[in-house]
Amino acid sequence: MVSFLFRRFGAMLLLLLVVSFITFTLFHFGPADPASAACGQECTPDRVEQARVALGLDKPFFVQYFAFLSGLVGPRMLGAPGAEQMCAWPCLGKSFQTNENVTDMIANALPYTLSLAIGAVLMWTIVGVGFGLLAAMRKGKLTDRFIVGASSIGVSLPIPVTGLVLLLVFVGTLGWFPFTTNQIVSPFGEAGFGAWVTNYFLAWVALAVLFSAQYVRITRNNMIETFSEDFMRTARAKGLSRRKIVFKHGVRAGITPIITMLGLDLGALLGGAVLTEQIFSVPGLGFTAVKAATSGDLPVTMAITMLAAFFIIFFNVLVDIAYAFIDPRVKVN
Amino acid sequence: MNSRATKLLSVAAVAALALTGCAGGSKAPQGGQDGAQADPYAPVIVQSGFAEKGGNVNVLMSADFATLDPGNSNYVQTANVGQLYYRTLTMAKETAGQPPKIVPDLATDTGKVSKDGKTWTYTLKDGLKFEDGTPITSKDIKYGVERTYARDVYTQAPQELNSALTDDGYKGPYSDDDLEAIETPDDKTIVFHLKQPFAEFPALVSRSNTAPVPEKKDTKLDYTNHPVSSGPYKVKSYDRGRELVLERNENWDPATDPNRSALPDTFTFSLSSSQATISQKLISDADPNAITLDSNGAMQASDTASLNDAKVKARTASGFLGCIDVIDLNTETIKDPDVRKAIALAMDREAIQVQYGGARFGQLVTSQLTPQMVGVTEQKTDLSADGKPKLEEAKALLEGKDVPKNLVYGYANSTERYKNVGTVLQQNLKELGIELELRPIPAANYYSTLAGKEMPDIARSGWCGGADSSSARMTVDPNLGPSLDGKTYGFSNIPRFYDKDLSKKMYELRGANGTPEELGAKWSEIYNEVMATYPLVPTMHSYTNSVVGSNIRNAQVGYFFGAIDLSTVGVAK
Repeated sequence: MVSFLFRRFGAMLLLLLVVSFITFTLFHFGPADPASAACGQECTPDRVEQARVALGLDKPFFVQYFAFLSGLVGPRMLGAPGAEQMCAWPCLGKSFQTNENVTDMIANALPYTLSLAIGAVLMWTIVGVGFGLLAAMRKGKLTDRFIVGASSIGVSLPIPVTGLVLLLVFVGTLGWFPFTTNQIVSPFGEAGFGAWVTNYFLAWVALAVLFSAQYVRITRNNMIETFSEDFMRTARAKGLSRRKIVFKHGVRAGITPIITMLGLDLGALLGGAVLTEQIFSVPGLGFTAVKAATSGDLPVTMAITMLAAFFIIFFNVLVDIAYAFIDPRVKVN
Repeated sequence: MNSRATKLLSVAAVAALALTGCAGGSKAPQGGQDGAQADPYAPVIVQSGFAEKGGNVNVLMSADFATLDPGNSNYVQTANVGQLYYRTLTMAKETAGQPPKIVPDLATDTGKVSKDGKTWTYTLKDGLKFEDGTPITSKDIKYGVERTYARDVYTQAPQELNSALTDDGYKGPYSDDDLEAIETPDDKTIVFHLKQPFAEFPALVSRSNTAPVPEKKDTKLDYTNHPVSSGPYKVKSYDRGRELVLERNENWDPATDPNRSALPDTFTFSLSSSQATISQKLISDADPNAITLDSNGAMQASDTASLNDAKVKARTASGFLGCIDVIDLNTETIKDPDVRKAIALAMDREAIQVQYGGARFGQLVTSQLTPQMVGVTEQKTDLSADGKPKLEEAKALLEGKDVPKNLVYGYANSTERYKNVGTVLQQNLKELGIELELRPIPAANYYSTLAGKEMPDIARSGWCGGADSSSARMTVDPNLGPSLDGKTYGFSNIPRFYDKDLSKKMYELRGANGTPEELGAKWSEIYNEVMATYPLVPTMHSYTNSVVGSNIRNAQVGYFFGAIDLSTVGVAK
């Protein structure tokens, strides 16, 4: 097990290094010029060059890249001569646009994304797996058809449509929910658990409508397949209760692909739900990433890309480990 | 279909329109406080005449300020909030619908100029203090200007003032000694030495360069987190990307400052609301104390219908901005003035106006010079006032000419309407037998691309009047004038217009001495001559609507700020 973990985490670091290099290269050789973006509309060519120096973009590519990597292992100095600033470890640089410490920007944005992701994942898992199970148990009946039909609609509704309709109906027209505020970051803050739920509820619903539809279909298909397995017939023949058959034997065997999907979806969501965060004014990683990408803000884009990659890779490893515990047929090798 | 379903479908349709940015109706705005005035573009001030102090104004914004540092700011949003926490030698005082008036601020007057027009002297008022109670001196102002020369530190440092002063090579206080172009013979006097006369100099010292900065409290790039206040408010808390709270500065003496009414006790800036949320919040009056500084009042084209609702209309401040959009024609690639004129006449500017959201979002214009500019003479043009194309005239101009078969239109890739403008032009030029390719340009680098080798044949740009939108020079020179040495076109001259005689005239006029009226007339005459060769085609004079909460008072749209003027706004309790 230790050797397995060691290998997986080693591979994870290597993969992150590759991601950082690719992102850095794409940005460096891409069409956008961060120096002129930072300098603005009325910027002479001389001033663009001065901005290039101020941002450290005048140095060779590999010098810039290794300077970035050095910030991951220790502090580094940033800025023009006479106005240097210490950037403490872990240093992801300073924003080209606002001069904020990128590590602080990430630390500020992450709790919002976590709040969004945790609630949404819980909601779509409960709804998706629950209805998927119900549909499998009522296969071919009206309930099954209704659930499958509804999930088809859900999966085909893009987030901007669901999100804006939810906002217009439940906030703008009916007034059942308040407009999202950036003052509520966690369920443990001053506003309390109830305000946290109210603040993020519609954003969770928007994500849940999209994602739970996929979970409904996957759960249904898996469970129907599992129900037809020999061991399920044996369980029924033994006279076990329906509840025991479904939850102890059926769900445990059929849930493995769902865990895989959940791990990957959660990993991707923690990297920032770009559209949902934009629509619901949640200043998380996705919100920050869009601003950074459109303004040529390399340090912020690098940091969020790497964090998103980290989450996806990390949750992949977690899923692999979880397999061993959930499904006895899988052994850690 | 039942009514609930109809309602939901309507909501979804509105949402879809908001997403796609589809243009709404094209009704012109109804001007005047009660909508009775004949001029549809007359400014509207919401609940003017309010004078009660107290309360909090919530300012909703879709993004944080790029900076609050007056020495590193070229943004109108920062200038708008800046007038709350810093003062400058003079101030561009906003009156809705008109270019700002330059009035004294820290100084006793708008400046005393020497006979040769190359030296300006200012005297500071008595009783000026920073937020910590220390007196503001002329040296603090000089230090503020010196910082803006550190261009290797402050990438956004405003440069209009600096380029007029004698000391071009100065590198800023961190790596150089003293800025010789500015003298401070005593704590109350500050003297500026200019390269050549500059009639609009009082406007240049209204820019944030002359905001006083105490040298001992200069935290360089971190100064943005808490700039030391010389205005009526100071930073109480600043949570980057989330919230900025300004509270009263007890060391600001209102007797020294007739320009800022400073009515609310606090301003709370919410820095991460999406534009859709802001517009919905304002239209539904969900927060009666709310305003926004976002461009176009955060309104989407799909909000046009809501703006016509009587209740919303009563809460909508509106007025012209200094900004005029144009279509630039690259004079290096489309060399023949007749071909440029034919392209200009073939343009359906009325259809372009629709792409901006209709008449409510701007008035069609045929010149960049507005009647509000000082000394402006009659503008001559063959462009149609109603924006309709003159195809026959255009085709006649091209007879026997070497007409380019293919041209490229470049647009900022983040804005759908600029792409749509290209589609309109594509159709128009097809009538002349010209194929127009639409080429997206990364929005962050749009203007540097237009200034560089990749400048397309045709592009859209906008100009908001610079430091003084009442001056014809401040529009003509940057947009069409020559470089600093007069030998080629200037760096912000997007059409790359350079004509030996006309550019020489502009170069010489830069250093001319005279009254603003005389100089305004001369610049305006040159503009007429240049525009006869059609280097650019004026399209829209921006008009902004900004909905405010029902408790907001004295809400006026600033001509320079393009949003609610924070120095005069109030809130009912």
